[in-house]
Amino acid sequence: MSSNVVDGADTDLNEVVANMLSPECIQNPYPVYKKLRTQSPVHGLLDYPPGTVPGVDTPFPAWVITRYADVDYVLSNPDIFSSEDPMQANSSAPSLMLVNHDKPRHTDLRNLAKMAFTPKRIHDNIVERLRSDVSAIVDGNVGQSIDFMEEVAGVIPALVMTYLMGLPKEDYKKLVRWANAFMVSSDFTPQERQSCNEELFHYFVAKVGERYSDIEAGKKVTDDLMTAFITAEYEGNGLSKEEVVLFCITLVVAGAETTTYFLGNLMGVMLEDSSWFERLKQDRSLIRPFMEECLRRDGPPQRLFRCVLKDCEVGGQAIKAGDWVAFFMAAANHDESVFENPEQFILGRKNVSKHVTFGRGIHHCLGAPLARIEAEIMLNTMFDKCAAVEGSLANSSRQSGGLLAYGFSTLPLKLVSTNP
Amino acid sequence: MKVDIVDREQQQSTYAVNDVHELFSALSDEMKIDALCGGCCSCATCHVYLGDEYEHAMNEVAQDEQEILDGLMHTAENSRLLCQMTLQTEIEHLEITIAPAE
Repeated sequence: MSSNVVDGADTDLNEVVANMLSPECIQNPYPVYKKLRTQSPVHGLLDYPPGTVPGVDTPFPAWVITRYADVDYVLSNPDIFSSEDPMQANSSAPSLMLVNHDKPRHTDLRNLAKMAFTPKRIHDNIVERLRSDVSAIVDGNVGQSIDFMEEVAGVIPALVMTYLMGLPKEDYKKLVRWANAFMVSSDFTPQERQSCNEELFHYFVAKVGERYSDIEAGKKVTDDLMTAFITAEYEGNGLSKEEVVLFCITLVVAGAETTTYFLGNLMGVMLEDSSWFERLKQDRSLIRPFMEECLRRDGPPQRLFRCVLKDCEVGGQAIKAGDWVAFFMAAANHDESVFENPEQFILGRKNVSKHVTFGRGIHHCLGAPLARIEAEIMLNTMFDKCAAVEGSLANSSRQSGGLLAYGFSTLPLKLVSTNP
Repeated sequence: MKVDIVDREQQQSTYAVNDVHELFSALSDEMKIDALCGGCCSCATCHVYLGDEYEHAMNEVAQDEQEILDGLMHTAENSRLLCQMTLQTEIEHLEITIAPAE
């Protein structure tokens, strides 16, 4: 395994890297990324991939990759940078489907899942009922002082997970808790985290088992992703029964918390500058560019990992087969050589679509269209029903449990009704 | 080969390229298409409409490509994914319209 050379400048960056898992860095990582971009990559981050448990699992030291060109290189070369995660495989957590697969298996698995996420399927199967549910959620919260993260942002994505897999709507609360524990954000003790991982697994073993029974009994079942996975297993398409369960788990952990933080971050921008609410309310065509700039500047997923399969060079640094890399999409999104004044929220950036919050290449986020439609529906519903949002960021706090996600743990605010 | 492109802002421009792959790279660099998946028939952000008279010059739509196209909101008879298109015969001129974003 490679090691970095320690000299005066590197010692300072070594300390920066050593401090990356501090609450201060997790809650405000962008100044840290700016320092790290001066010399990327830097070796030595001891961090925890999704599913692993701090205090129980032993982290591998990773190269920290922060420049846009280097992150893009990692994302675009899955033959060099493997998504199989030995640390997670050895942990108590369920392994993730797709996310932790390389080609060729990745291609087959992606083909199974992708049909549920097409724009047409989302439009036909999800949009109307989501509009209806979000309308009820906003109606239930307007005029009150609420924690937006708990009452709105945490609910919408988890509800969508229940639609996608035909789960009871009321189970969304459990999904939220389990996703938080798995993704190593939020404060859980190691025991709580492990316990959540086990509950999540057993929940889907039961739900998938029920669906199998219904299908075998000839009952009519919902045409959703769980049924699609089970059908694939039935038809001998290379999916085991356990993998059906793991696929369901993957959807929950990939799509619940990340989107929750996205929805919260959108509100955060509106609390930062209260003129946004009226601007967007009056001109809904601004919603999409607003969302994209929020994804760039405040994109929730901060970093992911890869295992290096071949000796290579990243940013001029030799990296050996067997090394572990942590590439920071969020740091790349703030690379001043790509995005001018990256810390500023600028609507209508010409190159905003270059952000890498949803990744690139074969692992680019399958759920991206879903995340966008959830945000769009939430914003439009709020603008339809509310005159303003009131609150102060001074009363909010960001999660500090882990480096994976940038998002609010609590966001007190009030949705002001349009009704006098 | 000269390629006339109409982009999502209805702006017209012309590219001189040797093949469709070169065109894909040029449009991606200029962010006229997002090319999120890097050309592996997945993200559909390179969805285009091919001028009818050029269909004969291109490869046929394979099943993977058709599955992706079938899932889009703005599909038309002459829809293609730019990343999956290859020239079968040499042509001097091509016309392509970039489809609306989904």
